[in-house]
Amino acid sequence: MKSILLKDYRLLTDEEHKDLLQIRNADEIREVSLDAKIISFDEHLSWIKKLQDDRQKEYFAVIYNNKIIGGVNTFDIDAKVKWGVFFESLAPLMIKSIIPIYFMDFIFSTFTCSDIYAEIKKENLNAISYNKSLGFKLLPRKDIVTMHLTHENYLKAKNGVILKRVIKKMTLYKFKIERYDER
Amino acid sequence: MRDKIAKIEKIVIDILKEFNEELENEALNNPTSKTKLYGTNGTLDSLALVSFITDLEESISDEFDKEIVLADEKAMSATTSPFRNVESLTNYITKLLEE
Repeated sequence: MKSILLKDYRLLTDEEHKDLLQIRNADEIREVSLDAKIISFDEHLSWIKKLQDDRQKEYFAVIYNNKIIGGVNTFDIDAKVKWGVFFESLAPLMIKSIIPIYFMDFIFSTFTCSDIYAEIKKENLNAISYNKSLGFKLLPRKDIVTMHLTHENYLKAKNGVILKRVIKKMTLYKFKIERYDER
Repeated sequence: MRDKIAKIEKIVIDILKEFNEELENEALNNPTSKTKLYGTNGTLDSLALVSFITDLEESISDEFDKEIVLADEKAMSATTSPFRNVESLTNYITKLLEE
């Protein structure tokens, strides 16, 4: 069984931070990100320091085959739980497909929330489609697309045409999540 | 060999049509060998592709009595994806069955 680890950013080594930042700063990631600027290593580490005391944000590196291949995050701001994800372009498609499902389950159970939001650049059609497959609905459009997922719709989506099949494949993987608060 | 390729392509298209009965994507109403699947201007996002491939694997394995894994990590992270259109997917399956 192959293992996937979600490791809290606050637990990463400096080398791991460099690997993560390299992915985050790649052109194909910044082109579709809400914040497109290149982040320097020092800026990144300063931000991590601020994150140490922030209990409303959780950022995880996705580690597969001992390599960081992307990141997922969730944060609770003004009573709205949001999520985000990015993967390097050559990350295995299967992992890119099963991680969101695992992470949605994590968010709904950990934050005991009934709604999750996603904010996506309107040009990022793949992400919009991807979130729709998870059960997200589009809210009225502006430059940034906001999508909304209720727990009810997520459970329906899990039984739907796309996720039902992908979930079958999840049994081939073992998941582990290392949270900062559980050290 | 040509018959085998034609048979494989028919299975790919039939599974795609069945999958689309629930997906309801207009671009997949009448798929042909040129129908784009995944990648630039593709009709399926990554979740939908994995889902479609899961069904396809089962059908191909049943028809040819050979287990194949389409959702192979090497293929799914290849720079020239075998999943870009129906024809490339058919060729990829043909190659896997020959191995």
